[in-house]
Amino acid sequence: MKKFLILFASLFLVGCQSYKELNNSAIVNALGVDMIDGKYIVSIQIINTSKNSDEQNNLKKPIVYTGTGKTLNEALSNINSKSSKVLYLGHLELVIVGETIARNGLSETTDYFIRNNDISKNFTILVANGNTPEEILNVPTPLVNFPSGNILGSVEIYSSISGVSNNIKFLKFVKDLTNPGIEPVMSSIKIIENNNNEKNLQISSLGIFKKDKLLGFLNDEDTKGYNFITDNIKNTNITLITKDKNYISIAINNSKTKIKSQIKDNIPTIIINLSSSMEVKENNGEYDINQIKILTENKIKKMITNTINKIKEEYQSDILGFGNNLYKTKNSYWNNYKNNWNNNYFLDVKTEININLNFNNNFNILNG
Amino acid sequence: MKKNIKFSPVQLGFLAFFLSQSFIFFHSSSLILKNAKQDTWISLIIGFLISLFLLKLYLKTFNKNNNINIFEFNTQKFGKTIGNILNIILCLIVLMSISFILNKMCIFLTLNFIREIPIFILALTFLLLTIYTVNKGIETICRTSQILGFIGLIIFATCISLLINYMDISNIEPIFETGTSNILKGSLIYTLSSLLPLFILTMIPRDSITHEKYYDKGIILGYIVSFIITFIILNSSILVLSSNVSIIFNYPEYVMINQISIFHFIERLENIFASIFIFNIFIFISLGIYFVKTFISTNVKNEKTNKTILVLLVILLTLSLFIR
Repeated sequence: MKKFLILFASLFLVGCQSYKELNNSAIVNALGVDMIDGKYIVSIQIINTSKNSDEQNNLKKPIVYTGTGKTLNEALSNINSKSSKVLYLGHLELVIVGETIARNGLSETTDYFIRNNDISKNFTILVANGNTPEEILNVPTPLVNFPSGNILGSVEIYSSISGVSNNIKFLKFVKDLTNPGIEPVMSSIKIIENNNNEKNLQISSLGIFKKDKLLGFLNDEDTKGYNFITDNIKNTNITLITKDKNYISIAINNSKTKIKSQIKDNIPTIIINLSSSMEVKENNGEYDINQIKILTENKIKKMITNTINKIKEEYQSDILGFGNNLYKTKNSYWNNYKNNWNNNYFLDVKTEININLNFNNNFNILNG
Repeated sequence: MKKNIKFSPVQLGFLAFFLSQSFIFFHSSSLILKNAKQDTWISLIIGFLISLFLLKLYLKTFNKNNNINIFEFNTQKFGKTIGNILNIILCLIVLMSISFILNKMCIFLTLNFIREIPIFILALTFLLLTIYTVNKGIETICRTSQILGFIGLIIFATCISLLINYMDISNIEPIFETGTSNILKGSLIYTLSSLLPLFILTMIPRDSITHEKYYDKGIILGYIVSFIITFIILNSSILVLSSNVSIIFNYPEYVMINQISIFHFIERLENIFASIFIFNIFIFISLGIYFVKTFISTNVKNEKTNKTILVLLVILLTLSLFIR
């Protein structure tokens, strides 16, 4: 009996029926999606595993393939017909969506990435600002061999150092898309050219969405304000101007924001409590520590207020998650006012901003 | 079952642990999440209390001083004919459960790992392994469950501790938003899917345990540990993904672990985590087949029971291919 079982098993347990040789696979690291005339344009960037490329040349041209189709899957299949290797999407780390498709709506694109089991759901998603994803993926980068690695590094570093961008992962986007009282955002990327006409990539400010549609882009200052409110800022720099038009440079570290909500006379008030440590990096003025502290607090307060006002007036999209906070903490109020929240009740929300800065310099020369 | 077979209450506890988890991750978890959403934790606690009450009731009333297995009990209580009809019905239920969960597991494996391998081949390979274990006897199944249990607990503890950083406690708010009926539905699903598989343990008489008095404690403790793990995993998926994202996916636990990235170096831990689910199914199917084998060996008194198992295998495969 045992022998029979072993014989029987050996017919099937030959192993690796659906094996894929690494040499025959094209590892896709970044993917760009856009739409022209109702057709999807999909560009993929492949990791170059061959050693024959010119290793002395720092600016290696990235390997990018583009395909079109009525669906995303069809477009990817069309790319397969151009590439001699089978596309492997398991290592996808970056997706760039074009401005056109983002303005038309990303629900179908999101659906594709959710359904595709080959793709890890942990990739970064960016929106192209003024360029197509294909153009962006084709820009060679000097420091990293493949541009997607360069972009990912930039997003991470830029968001942790400057606070002017956010490393938005795909599931965070889906979370904001599906959760009530909050709208999604996405960091943007664009191509900049220097005086020698050399192209370079730059992580830009946040793209604002309403449901799955892109409305526009915030500027750097407003992105900082957004990140302060949503507790997405770790460190950033603030430049103050004194009355004598001198500059003071402040570093904000370990910022922490907590949001609470109150209902007074049926009007919600969002209380933003921000605490952070600050360091004076440059002091070209004649202000003492206390004056600098007050100036910094006022600057952050103004930044946050301007961001809220701009979002309310220009976009009417609750990317700040005030509605979500009310949904979680004041659920009965939310149930009454959730319909037409963005265009109506969100605009009436009052805000109260409390800032607590701790001075952190370990020396005391001059005035700051 | 031979009366001289002995195993420890700890091993019995591990069997109870695996059985009560067998239907959760490939079937019930997404149903519980869809019904109870962020109130899953309430649902699970209610479900657990109901099941614990039912389990204690069963252990106190029906299984007291019964040093016989369920098949012998049925034939003694209801006579040979009715008793055997009941036994056959029980075996059919177990076989159908095996084919159902086997199918679910094969679909999971095909979707996430081995796309091009037909479900038939996968099921056959898996069943060959379980049949081999079953032929070694219940003691081997118990020892295997103990080893797999410890491995599973280590994997679980590692993955969940790495996930703490990604959890957002505000995701369980607002409480009681989904409504009482949905919460109770979730509780009912949990109670049914975690408690009913424990029925297979009725094939193990009390005197098969080395310390007979710990029979009840072993099962209850195994069930409690299983609840704690289910509770942590399901609520982690809400804390990490939020309830609205969790219900999008068929396997939210798998997607949740996908978030872990340590220094951009250790990633895709979900594939290791999924082995816990496979362990559950392996022990469930092994015990299920042993259940049927016990019935056959108590009724058919010849040495050719192995052949009947092979026939069973074919029936199982056919069923698992058609039940979807």
